[in-house]
Formats: sequence, structure tokens, C-alpha cells
Amino acid sequence: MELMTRRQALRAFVVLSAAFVCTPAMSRETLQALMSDLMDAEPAVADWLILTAPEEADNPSAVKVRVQVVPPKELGIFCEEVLLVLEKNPRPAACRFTFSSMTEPDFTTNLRFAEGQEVMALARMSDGSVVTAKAPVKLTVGGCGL
Amino acid sequence: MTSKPRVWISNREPQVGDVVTVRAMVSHAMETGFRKSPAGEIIPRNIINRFECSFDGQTIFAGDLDTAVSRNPFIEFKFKVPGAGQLQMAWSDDEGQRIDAALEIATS
Repeated sequence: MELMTRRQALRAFVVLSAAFVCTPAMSRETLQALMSDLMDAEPAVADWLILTAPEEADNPSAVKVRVQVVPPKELGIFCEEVLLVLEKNPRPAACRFTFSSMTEPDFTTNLRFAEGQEVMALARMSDGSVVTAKAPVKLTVGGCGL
Repeated sequence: MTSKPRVWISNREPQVGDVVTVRAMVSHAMETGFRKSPAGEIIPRNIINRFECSFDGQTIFAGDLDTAVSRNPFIEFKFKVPGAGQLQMAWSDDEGQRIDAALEIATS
């Protein structure tokens, strides 16, 4: 019962904030749904979606991940949103960022890794296509950089 | 458990059209809701679920965060400066708490 009220409160908040911004906030349940959505689009691997993560990370609770989307100019498309996925985490969809004409599709953030795994980026482009990239991250035990 | 956000910008007085880098970090426990207290009760989830950045009121960059984002979430992004104005950033968490930061940008 308590869960219901929490969800309702969250939904009310989402609706409220959606009224003020151009890219409406999503509830986290939708974030997980967006992941399956993008996966269903059978994303192609593109070398212009650059995902940078350390090969070996010594702190699993803060692993720096960078995403750059630089499609070739002749394609004439730009990036609308990027979703980062950690498939072995309890909640795989980690974060989603949306861009505007003023923002370069280039961001860095810190993620938590439940275990060593591949981090996956899914990018939805302006023509509706979805591209993906993966980078493996190993977690070092002890974490002294050895 | 929050404090003043820390925001860094690569150039406070850029030319119009320059691309500047912004690093934004805020103190927040980002409690996942998976952990248990010593008494065995689940600590309720409370994470920052939304980050928004706008320039003079127009949203230019936004993010939806989930539990896989580290505590004290750090976000770095780049944008093209359209002119002098104010860069506004807002973080909001599950409990409805909102943290704001603003940065004046002058063009040279």
C-alpha cells in the first residue's frame, strides 16, 4: 500500500515537472522500459558512438564513463538521447541524457558497478535509428591499483 | 544529506559560439533501496532522479538517473554558448527535495 502512494507521488511529480520543461522527466519505471524499447530496435554498432570507460577500475562504486556521439556529417543526423546500461546491475538502466541543439552530445558521469561487466550505451538519433557501443570494465580486487 | 552543489566551467567569459565544458557535482547519498539497516529493515530508496540544465530558462541538457549512478553524482557536459546569460542547474530527488545552482556567463 505504501508502495502505491509512493508511486502516485512520483507520478504526480513527473506530471508537474513535465509541464515546465521541454524534455519531460520520466519515472524510473519508464527508464527501465525505455531500455527494452531501445533494445527492441535492434541497435547497430557504430564506431562514431564513442564509449570510454576504464579497462580496470579499482572503485566499483564510482567508475567514470564518457559518451561521445559524433555521427559523420554526411548522414545529417544528430543525437537526441543516450541511455547507459549495466546489464548485471539490479536495475540495468543506469541513466539517460537528452540533448538540445545547444549541447554537444558528449558527457561523463560516474556509475556504480555491481560486478565486472560491459557497460553499454544506446543512442537514439534524430532519424529514429538506434546505435550502440560497449566497453568492458574489470573490477580489481583490493583496489590498490595493483 | 545535501550541501551546496559544486559547479566548474572551463571558461567564464567565452566568445559567442565557443564550446565550454561544465562539471557539476552535488552531495547526495543516492540511497539505492537495496541496503538494509543494522536492524534488518530496508533503507528506503532516495536517489536524485533528475538533473536539468537550462540556459536563460530554456532546457539545454537533462538527465534521468537511476540507482546505478554513484553517490555524489558527477555530470560533465559540453554546450555551445549562445551569448551572455545564466546557466541554471537543478537536481531533484525521490523525496521531492530540489537543489539549485546558477552560473553567470559573460561573453567577451
